[in-house]
Amino acid sequence: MDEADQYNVDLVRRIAQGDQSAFALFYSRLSPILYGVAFRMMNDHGDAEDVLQEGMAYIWRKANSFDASRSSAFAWAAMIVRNKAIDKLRARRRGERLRERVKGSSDLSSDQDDTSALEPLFREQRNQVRSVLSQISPDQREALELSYFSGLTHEEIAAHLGAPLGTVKARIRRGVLQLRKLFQREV
Amino acid sequence: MIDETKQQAAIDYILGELSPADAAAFEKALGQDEELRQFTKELTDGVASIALAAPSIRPRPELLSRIQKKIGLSNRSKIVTLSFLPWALAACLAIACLILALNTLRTKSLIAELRERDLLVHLQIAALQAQSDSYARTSAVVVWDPQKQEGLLRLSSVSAPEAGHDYQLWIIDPAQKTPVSAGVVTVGKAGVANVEFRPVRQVSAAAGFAVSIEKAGGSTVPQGQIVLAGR
Repeated sequence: MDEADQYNVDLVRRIAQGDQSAFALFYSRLSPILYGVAFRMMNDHGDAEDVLQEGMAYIWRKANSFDASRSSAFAWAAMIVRNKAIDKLRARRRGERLRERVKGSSDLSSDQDDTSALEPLFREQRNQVRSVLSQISPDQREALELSYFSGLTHEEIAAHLGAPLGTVKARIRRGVLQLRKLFQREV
Repeated sequence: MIDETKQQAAIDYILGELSPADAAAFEKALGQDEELRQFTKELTDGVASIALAAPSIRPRPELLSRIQKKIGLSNRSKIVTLSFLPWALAACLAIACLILALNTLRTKSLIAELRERDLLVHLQIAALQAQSDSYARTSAVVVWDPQKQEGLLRLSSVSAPEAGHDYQLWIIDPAQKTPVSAGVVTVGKAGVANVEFRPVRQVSAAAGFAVSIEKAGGSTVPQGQIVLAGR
């Protein structure tokens, strides 16, 4: 565990004890990333704010359930926000065309990218992650990013890509395994 | 060795593809299988890192207050954001800047007097000294609140760094191998910077502060020239 994540873990433990300053600090450190994920998934600032609010409220209430043996504190928070966004996406899915929902979903660049909002360490890690993603084959990366950001189930991703479910699952599995391998090596 | 079935289950679990019953069964397996738990942790950290690839966006400043209100936290001074630092810190910075304009001897006695009156009891004040002639006219003051792990930096009579570079504030903590970053410092056109900062890691004791010139965006450890330092 690196020092930055150790600090995140310490903050989560303090949050579990009801430390409001730790909560504000944790928010201050991670909100640009978490809000970026929420906006990437919702494509709407109002919904992204709702998602971040629900995610942070969950973190406040459930900080004592964080288990450092299961994930880093950053991963825990990121997955909470992603799950909140998925809940919201799936709740509003009726009447919405699939094609519109996944429009541009493989594009991780944006003119809204506020790199200055990130601490230097996160900026460095981001470069490493983007480097890692660039080493994954395009079809695996597309399946992975759809799986992470779109809120679509694997079956829906298969329908969207016009590929068999087994193929999509295999791409995602290979992508995740390669991400783990490359991430361990580079990050 | 984690077989392919377990690998797939771990991935489906992380990505939320399992039914509630299957997810519960997988969690039970995690509790009993150390190798599977470690494998799943590595996958989780890898998958979550994709979040870093998304464009980062700073939320509106008022969102934190909205969240705090929703979860029943008050907006007392204990809950501070970078935009709403406690008035005491700001007031102490003003006092510090004022007294630093006076002579050093008087400064020390005034700080001592304020401490005796408990006005600065929890706060650390440091006047940073120039480390090169180019900064001889620069005034630099740090007020640090170790309890809240936040502080203020005021720089005046300082020129903007060369293109492609930023000033960065560091806190020297003897308990840590490397100085702790307290963020990038942006200097305004008038040669003044007022920065509210929080370090990237917990600081157990601030033995000193320093400002260095780093590549644009800052560094994780100081690599450039230290231009101001003090304790």
